[in-house]
Amino acid sequence: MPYLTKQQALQLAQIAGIPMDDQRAELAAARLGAALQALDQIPADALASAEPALTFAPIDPAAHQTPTHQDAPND
Amino acid sequence: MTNPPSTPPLHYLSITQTAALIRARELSPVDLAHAYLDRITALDGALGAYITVMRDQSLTQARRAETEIQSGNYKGALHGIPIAVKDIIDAKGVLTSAGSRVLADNIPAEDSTIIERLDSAGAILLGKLNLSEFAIGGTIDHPYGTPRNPWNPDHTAGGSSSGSGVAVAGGLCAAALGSDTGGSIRGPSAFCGIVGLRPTYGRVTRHRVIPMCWSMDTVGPMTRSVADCALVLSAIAGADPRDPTSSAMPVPDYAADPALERGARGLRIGLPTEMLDFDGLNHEVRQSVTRAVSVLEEHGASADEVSLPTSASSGAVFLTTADVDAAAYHSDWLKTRGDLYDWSTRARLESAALTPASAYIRAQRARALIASELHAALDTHDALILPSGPVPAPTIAASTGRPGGYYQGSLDMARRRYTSPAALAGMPAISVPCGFSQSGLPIGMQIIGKPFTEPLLFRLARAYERATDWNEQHPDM
Repeated sequence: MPYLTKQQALQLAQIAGIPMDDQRAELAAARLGAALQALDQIPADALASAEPALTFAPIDPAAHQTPTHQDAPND
Repeated sequence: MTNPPSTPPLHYLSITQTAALIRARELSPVDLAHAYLDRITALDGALGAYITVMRDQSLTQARRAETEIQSGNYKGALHGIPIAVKDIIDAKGVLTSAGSRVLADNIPAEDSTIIERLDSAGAILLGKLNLSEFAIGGTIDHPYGTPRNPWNPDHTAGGSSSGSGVAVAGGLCAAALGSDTGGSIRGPSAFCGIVGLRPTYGRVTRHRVIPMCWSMDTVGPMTRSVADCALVLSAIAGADPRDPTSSAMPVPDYAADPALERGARGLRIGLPTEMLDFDGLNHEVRQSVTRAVSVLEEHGASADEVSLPTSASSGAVFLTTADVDAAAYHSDWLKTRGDLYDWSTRARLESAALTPASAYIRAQRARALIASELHAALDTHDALILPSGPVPAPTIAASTGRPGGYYQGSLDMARRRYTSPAALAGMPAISVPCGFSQSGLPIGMQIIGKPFTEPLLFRLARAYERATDWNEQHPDM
């Protein structure tokens, strides 16, 4: 059974407002399904203590004298 | 392939070598610009490196540089040096197409900060370089011609900074700028046999650079030597009030840093098991990188294995973070001008646009985990060394985002295992040539360090470059 079906992809595309025919929906389902499946293979317990990376934190030079997970530039 | 000659032809000189001639007034910047422009005219029809050649503007700049130098106003090593930039970087009045039909009429009204900085350094802007559409790899139909690898035109130059790799390797400019979101400098640099640096995130301004992923995009130099890479980085790095994510960290003179020539002695190298023992790693690439590490060990470095367990998933993490950002940037155009995109670009963006928010957040958590694993490995090592990619350049026919292509599915995930970790962690990474396949295609070695350790990366890369002659070999054209 595919991780994401063509029908699900079409529904998501409709919600996102992206016009999509059956052929492209099938392709999107395969591509996205593969990525989501690979993502799900990361053990949940490994992620349990990881907070999502922040994306717009300007880099503080002082933080980079002894960089750690807590003060990494994009974390 | 040509053997290293005692004096390379003008178009294959390094910036350092060329600058010495210009400074001594033994070489005119105007003659130099003409030499590159003539070579572009002769070869670029077959190589597809350039989208726009700025003949008139570059000659005007060269004449100005010549006058300044003759008047005793020598600005430094980039003065009079012909450089070209990836066509996502705005230069006032010149098409910025991003390699796409979507932006076929996009003429910016202002320079990017990077172009201003190159101009201040006295560099000559030769033109705008071809790329994978919107800096997203896997383009099938390049609207401005297919970039071809100068070492073998049937093979890809990589992506997305393909034109930058071709132009530097083929002697169509003295240096180029590329951009690297998830490997777009390192990949083409490895495939084309040149040096390419992905700087620390925030080290180089992104002002008026068309984004792919706001939190991972970097602009960096692609050059024929490590010292050239250092020179160009010094010129473009530094805080920019027009880019809030640019870093206030002071910019050292990377090329003048005495550490550049200090060698590898005493440096501790980590070798990530998940990359070097990976089944999908081509044996010639493994052999070349292993030999390169041995060379560094012979010169006083030490090396041992490290583990980055989550890095095997870094491709999926990248696709569910960076591609989602890209899909957000392109969302309006996807709805209204979708048919103008390349088939592969559109398929990739549309897939990403459907990513559930929960998956995006899960990927951002995994991204933090990957970053923490890299930091932990670099707490006990000065740098990590791994291949720049799992294989030498595939053929152009095999290098698309179609199912089964190098930029899709399992092959795409395999290559991303090598290039995504540094991108996800915002770390600097440099690719340096470290050999050739039996079929004569270049192989690249990647060196990753903690944020703002570019001087260390240059030192290690230079130590290797000095001990070998890969960077002195050029395509015979």
